[in-house]
Amino acid sequence: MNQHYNKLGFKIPQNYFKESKDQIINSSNTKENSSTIKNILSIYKYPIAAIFIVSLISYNFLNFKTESFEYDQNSPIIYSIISEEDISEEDILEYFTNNLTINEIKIYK
Amino acid sequence: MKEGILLKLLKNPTSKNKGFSYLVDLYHEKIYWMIRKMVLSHDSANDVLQNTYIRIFKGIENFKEKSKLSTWIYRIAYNESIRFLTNESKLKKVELDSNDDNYSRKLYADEYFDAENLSLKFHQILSDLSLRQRNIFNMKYFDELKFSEISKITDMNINTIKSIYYSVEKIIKKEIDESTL
Repeated sequence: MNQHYNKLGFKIPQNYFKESKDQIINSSNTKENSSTIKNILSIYKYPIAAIFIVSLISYNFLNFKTESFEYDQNSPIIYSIISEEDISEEDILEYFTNNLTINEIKIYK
Repeated sequence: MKEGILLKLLKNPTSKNKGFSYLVDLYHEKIYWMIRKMVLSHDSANDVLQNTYIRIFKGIENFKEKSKLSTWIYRIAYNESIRFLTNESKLKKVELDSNDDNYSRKLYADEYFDAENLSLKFHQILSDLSLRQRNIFNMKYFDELKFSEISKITDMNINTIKSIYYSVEKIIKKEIDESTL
């Protein structure tokens, strides 16, 4: 601060510079501590995520069972396939009538 | 402490805090006065000063060393002050080339202003200047920065800065001479 500053007539509270310096340095120390925790977390977040994904995949893999397909052996089509007989049109019609729901179409006037 | 050593301390995560303490020790008063001359009131200067330090602390890793560390710090302080003035004026961008109509009001409202005759005359002259003229004059006359540094801080051409400074200096001399006659 040079001698010209006297012309400005600016004043400051007593001990302002010392107190504000201490305050700023203390707050930077606190920030640094919290950022250290963040840094540690940022280092370990990928290995943690990888372990989680691997364990999830392993768990699913171990519990994976090939689903057994249950079918009605009395159904004419299934029976025909199993016994390698020809499938007649009647069988197909019967299969569809038993297994498909036909939507009603209403036409409003 | 030399800037190079200070920078090494600041850029090393283990010594960053220590480096920051040295930085505050070295530049605290200079930054404060630079901001104070721009925003005028002590409380506002204190707020802007804290924001400036936050930006310095967060941004030091990205400092590319294209300029001196002090110039980089002053530039942050300058930009923070402009940002504060912009928010204060509720305008999208503060007009650097227009006069600050609230200059005297802000000055008198501040309890940390000593309204002596010379101060009043000086501020009267400064209040007639545009914000750009005033900033350039303040940086050269009070902060004794080099024209090249002011150019980097304000992002303006060095010759423009020189011509603004000398024209302002002429105006001030003339005004003070007339008032003392």
